[in-house]
Amino acid sequence: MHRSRKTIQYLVLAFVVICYAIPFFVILTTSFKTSSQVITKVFQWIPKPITLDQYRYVLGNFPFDKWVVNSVVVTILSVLLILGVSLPAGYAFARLEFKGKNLLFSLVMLTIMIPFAAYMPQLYLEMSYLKLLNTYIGLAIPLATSAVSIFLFRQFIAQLPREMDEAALIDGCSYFQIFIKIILPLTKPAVISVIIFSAIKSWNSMMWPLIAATKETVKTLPAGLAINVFTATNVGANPTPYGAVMAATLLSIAIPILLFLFLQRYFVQGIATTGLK
Amino acid sequence: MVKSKKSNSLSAYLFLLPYFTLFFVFFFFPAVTIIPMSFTHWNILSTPKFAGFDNYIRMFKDPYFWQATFNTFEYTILVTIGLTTLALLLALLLNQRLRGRVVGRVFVLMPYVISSAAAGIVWKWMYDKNFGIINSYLNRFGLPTQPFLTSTTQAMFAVVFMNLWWSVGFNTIIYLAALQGIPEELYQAAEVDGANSWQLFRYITIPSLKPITLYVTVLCFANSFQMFDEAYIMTQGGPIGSTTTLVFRMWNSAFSNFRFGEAAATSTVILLLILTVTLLQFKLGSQRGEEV
Repeated sequence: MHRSRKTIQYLVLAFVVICYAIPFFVILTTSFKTSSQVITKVFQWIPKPITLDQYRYVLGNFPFDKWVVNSVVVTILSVLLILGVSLPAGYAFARLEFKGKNLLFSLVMLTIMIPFAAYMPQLYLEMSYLKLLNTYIGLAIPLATSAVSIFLFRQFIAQLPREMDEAALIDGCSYFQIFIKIILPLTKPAVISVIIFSAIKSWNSMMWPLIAATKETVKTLPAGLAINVFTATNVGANPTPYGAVMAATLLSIAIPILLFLFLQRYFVQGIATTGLK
Repeated sequence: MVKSKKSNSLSAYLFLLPYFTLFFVFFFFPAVTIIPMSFTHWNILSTPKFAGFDNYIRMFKDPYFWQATFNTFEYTILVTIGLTTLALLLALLLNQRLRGRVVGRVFVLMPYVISSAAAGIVWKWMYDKNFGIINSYLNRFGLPTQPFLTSTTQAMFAVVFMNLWWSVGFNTIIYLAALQGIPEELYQAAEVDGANSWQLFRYITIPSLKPITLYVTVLCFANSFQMFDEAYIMTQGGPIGSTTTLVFRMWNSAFSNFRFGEAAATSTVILLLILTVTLLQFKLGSQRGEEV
């Protein structure tokens, strides 16, 4: 009885793993097929022969390296911006008493409730007026106004013991010194989880870069793929361009997947931390 | 004492200054001015002209607006229910003492780190009518070819299904952490009292997961309500508007047709809808919380 239950559990687990792995395998295998192999009625799991033509085509026809560099720059910039504004704000909301605290915190709440699409047309016009369209900082800013990380930091800092900052206060330290010397070093787990989430969000963000990064000089990976590469699948193109499209897809997911596999433990911890409120 | 409190206030504002600068300029200002903008005709090249309720009247008369509203709710409800249920089931499975469960966790979470553009395009390929892997296998088992994304009745479900693959990992990990947080003693005590495994699940696991379920559903709802990338990549809102959501409609008004007043009206509707739903969710959630 107990044994058969274990067997069923193993079978279900194997089924789940296969289901979740199949799309990745489809990307991999399609990207190494010739264009004529892609359009076979019976799906071929292993390409015969294996070709690098699709990769040559993608790398030769699109400024892929430039898109990757742009995505890296925007991701780093937005992560730094998010940490820079939310760590001090989270500290203030967790530890300091000041006039209007509740009002300001309710305002911060709004950024979580109000979706990006609800103010996007106006933000676009404003960014255009401020000449921030097609700039790295203009791509990073909309990611930094969301207050999810402020919440996380406030929550995390609030549960740290207060004895140390009180002692430091008596010793004549300023709040700024307490923040830098005592609080910051203790927030490492929360910082790691904010870095991971902001980085994923920024790396994958597409809606805003589609219109705010129209120039090749700043175009990020998702925008470049969506506008320049994937559109080939919209028209009734013949032969179906999925070989090249999957090669481009594989190149675009390689960095996040590798980072994920190496830092898997931190990803899991990071998500778990956000859930434990 | 009074003095220390005062200086406390001043330093607090300094700590908040960087965030609130961004907040007011790039969030609050556009979010507030979108409402007056919705009462104008504006194609960015010319100056905005006052239009009264024109944008709203035209929108409410347009059957495609009502279809987009319906699609938005259909998508959101299907994804929220699907993701929450599937995440709980996967978490229960991955919480068993099985060898290889770490592998399971890795594969379930892996899609979450790739972009919606990448996830959307691979499913578009798998759903392909002529050469996609799914139809290839349907045919092999003697089943008829399905149009999936090119069918007005199937496209929405196909996008929902793709989303179950792409983003369930996040919720699974949250549930998994919550499951591991339930004290082992509860189960042991109940087992001593002769409870079977269904009773353990029904009377210990489910109630313990209530707060986290509220969190997960609110999060899913807010995210899926804003669905855009998947539709943009997989269907372009089609066929015949069957996967056009309100956000997609707003996008088309603003950035394909350059009718910013019309886009602002849709944005305002999105804003009002999501505020209403969020408040309702929290009200329901807190009521249920009190009962328990």
